[in-house]
Amino acid sequence: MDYFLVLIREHRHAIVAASMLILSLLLLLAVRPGTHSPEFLEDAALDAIGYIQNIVQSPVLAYRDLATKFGQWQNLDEENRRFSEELKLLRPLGTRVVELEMENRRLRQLLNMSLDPGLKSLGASVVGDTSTAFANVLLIDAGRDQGVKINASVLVPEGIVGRVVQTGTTSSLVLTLLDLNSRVPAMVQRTRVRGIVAGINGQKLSMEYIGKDDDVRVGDQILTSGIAGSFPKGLLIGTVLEVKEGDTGLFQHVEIQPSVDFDRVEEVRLLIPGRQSVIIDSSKHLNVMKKP
Amino acid sequence: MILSSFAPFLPALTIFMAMAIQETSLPLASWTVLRPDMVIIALFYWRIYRPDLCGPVLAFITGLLLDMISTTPIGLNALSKVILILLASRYGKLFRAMDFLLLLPVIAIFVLIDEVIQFTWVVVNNGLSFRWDILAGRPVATLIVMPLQVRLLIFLHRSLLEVR
Repeated sequence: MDYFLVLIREHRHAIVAASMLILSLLLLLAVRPGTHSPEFLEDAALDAIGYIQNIVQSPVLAYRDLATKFGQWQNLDEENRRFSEELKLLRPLGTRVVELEMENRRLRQLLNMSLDPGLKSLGASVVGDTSTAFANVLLIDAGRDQGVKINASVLVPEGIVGRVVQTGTTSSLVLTLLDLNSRVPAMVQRTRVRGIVAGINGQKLSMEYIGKDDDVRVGDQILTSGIAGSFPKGLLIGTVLEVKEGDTGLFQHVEIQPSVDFDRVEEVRLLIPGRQSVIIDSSKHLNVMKKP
Repeated sequence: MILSSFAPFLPALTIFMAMAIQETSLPLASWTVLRPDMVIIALFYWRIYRPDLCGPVLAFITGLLLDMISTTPIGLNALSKVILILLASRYGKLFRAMDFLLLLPVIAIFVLIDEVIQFTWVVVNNGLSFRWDILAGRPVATLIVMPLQVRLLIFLHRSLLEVR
């Protein structure tokens, strides 16, 4: 017994090193991708990193705000004049917009389509970019305390950024559309052809399962289809960049330029599904209405 | 008294800080590509100069944290960081005797080894899906940042760990 203890003591460094190597390998082989590690560990890691990143970012943000304010002051007169002119041009359009809005509401009522009241909106800032050559992830400064839930859609005015895959108490991880594990049910706006938009860990996206005979052209806009996914219908994903014949002979290969510049995302909006939330698919309603 | 009780955790704290700074989001396209691997610099430094305070367990925890916040497969960064720590201790005496300028390519090689380990795993499981520009940019950015970070680590080392 003593002999073993002496042996262990003598080789303790090698034993610890070997244990760590074996443990890493076991984790790699045993934990399936997408499986979450214990919640308290995730919470602690996300929140601690998020907190430090907020501090690290504060001088950068302060400098940027100051520079923006100076820029705005310099252009104030010019902007004022331009806005006055634009307002003159846009005033007649205001009435038209109200009219269209009312018409839209009437048509929605006619089609029995209600805007989803279950979707809650929340603003957040991007504090971390933990992307590598093999993963594309952002860290935002809103978590469970703010009501963030897993699978919440993350948007910017230009389109979809991704969805929440992990939540801490005050921070969350967002899997961007570029990530290899990202899949979004989508459709071509012009022809309503449906497919799946997948990330390829590059700067472009790929649209899969588009049949050879389906009508997709370069320049077509791709939107979320709202089917079987966490994204509501009609959100902009990107524009078709290239359409090629697929290798298998069944499908076309469609390359998409995302509408969002993922390197410059600073503030995001989250759409959080509520308990009663149902993602609307207007085509279903249309089909129902067509029945005799 | 407080300082001396805090001192043994200095390597872990600096590695954790390096991780937070490295993963901070800046609205610059160049930051995505040219992002230094400050964690490897910190791990390397402490393993070479204070191996008693920076062992495989710390490297494993660091890697695990990186896996958790970057959604890479759990264990991948942990494995690569433990291998790097073992390499650093294997050639520790040689590195300690080396001139600082010669350590620059060594760090670049360490970053490349880290990437090769992750690359191999990802390619075997997912095929060739990754960004070449990030893969190439990381060692370059690490080399640029290294003198400054090492200077800071030397300062912390001397002022907090070498106090008699």
